[in-house]
Amino acid sequence: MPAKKENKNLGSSLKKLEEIVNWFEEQKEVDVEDGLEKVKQGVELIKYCRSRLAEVKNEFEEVKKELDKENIK
Amino acid sequence: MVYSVSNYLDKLNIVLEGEKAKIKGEISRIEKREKTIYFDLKDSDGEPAVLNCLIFRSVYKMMGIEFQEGMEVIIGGEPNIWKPIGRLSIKVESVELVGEGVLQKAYEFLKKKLEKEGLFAPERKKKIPVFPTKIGLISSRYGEAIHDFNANLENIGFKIKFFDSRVEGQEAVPDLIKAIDWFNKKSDCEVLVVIRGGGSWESLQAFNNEAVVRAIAGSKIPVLCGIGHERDIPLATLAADKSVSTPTAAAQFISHSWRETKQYIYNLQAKLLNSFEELLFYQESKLTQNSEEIKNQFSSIYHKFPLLIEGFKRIFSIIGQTINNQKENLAKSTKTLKEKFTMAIDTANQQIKNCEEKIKIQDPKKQLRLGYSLVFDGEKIIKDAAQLSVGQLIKLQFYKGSADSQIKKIKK
Repeated sequence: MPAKKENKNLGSSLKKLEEIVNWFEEQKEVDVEDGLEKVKQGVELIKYCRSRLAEVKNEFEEVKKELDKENIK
Repeated sequence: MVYSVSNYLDKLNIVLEGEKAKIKGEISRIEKREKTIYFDLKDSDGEPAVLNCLIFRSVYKMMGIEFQEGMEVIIGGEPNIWKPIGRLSIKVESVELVGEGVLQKAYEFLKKKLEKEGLFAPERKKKIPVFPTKIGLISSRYGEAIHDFNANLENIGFKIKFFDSRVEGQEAVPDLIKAIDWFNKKSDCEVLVVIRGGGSWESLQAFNNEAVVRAIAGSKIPVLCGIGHERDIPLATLAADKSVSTPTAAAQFISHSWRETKQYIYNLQAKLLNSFEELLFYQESKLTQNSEEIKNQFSSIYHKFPLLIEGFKRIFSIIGQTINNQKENLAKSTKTLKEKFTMAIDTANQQIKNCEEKIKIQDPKKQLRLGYSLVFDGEKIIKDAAQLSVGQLIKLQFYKGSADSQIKKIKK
């Protein structure tokens, strides 16, 4: 199911993003090159997450009840 | 127009078909068959009145009410005349208990029973997935609930499959069960949402129905219940994997992981950029500090350079002077040495001369020249007459020449 995969990606992207933010907080002295690399990764993740969270109209569909007329056994 | 019996009964049945009704009465004369249960419904007071009723076992089971003689109920159903014996009977589709006390008792009894079974236990509840997108919605298309739900759902592209179901009274039971069953068998929904606005205790009976409660507990898809209620919590709510008290709250719950994440992402982004900014600022200040330090060091070098040169110059001149001094010293000392040497030699010469003088003075030949003579006995010089004897031959040495002589007389 593609939707599930996407969800997983949003969840895992969030996790990765958290890890990056924590990484910054944990480092006492950050190398600028490393920091820049992490920020680049972080920005990509943010972009992705935002695209997943962008406002998209919900789809609403009523189920056709093929069994409606049938008696319950 | 004249009908045959059969035709007339058919005509009546067509008319009766739309005559669905709810009828209150007392159960009597229960007759249980394999697939159907027959019973009479009669008024408990007033003039005698009886309705023949039948209920399919499947429906009976779903209603979750154990029929007893004298039990007061409200049945819902449709009349029909069974032609072979010409009897009108009600095909029962729902049964409700009547009277608050009875309902309460039934509720308490079922609650205890299901509790004992562990149907409401937290450990058997499934987790509502984070970031769900496919939602199975179960409610009435006529109710406010569905509107409230949609209005409060975040627009992030949820795919909502809506299953219209009755939600009032016992008639709702088969619909609810069918809906849950359908989603589990035919959909890929990630969460089922069962909602209904608040209502009277009686109107919520479907959500206290054993079959419905079991269907919710048995759903493979996690179930979120948002059923408004005033007093006792509907048993369906207890059995659901997650429960909130209104349809609006259900929509908010479904949306919350998304909505919170929007804010969360924003926070993470701010944090990330702040961290990086801090890093850059730190590095910049470090750089400034370093360059300041370098500048200071350089300037101190610039500052010290003339001094150093001066110092070097001084040192060089000192060295030069020392070398010159040494040279001079050397020259001087060479001269002194030479002088001393010459002097020593002169002194030595003088001394030699003196010695020569002395030696010259002491020379015996000089004495001889003055007229003195030497007397030898062989090689020995005679200094004492006692050394001589008469007749002894001696030698006389003069300044010029010598003579041999013989001793005649010795005078001591």
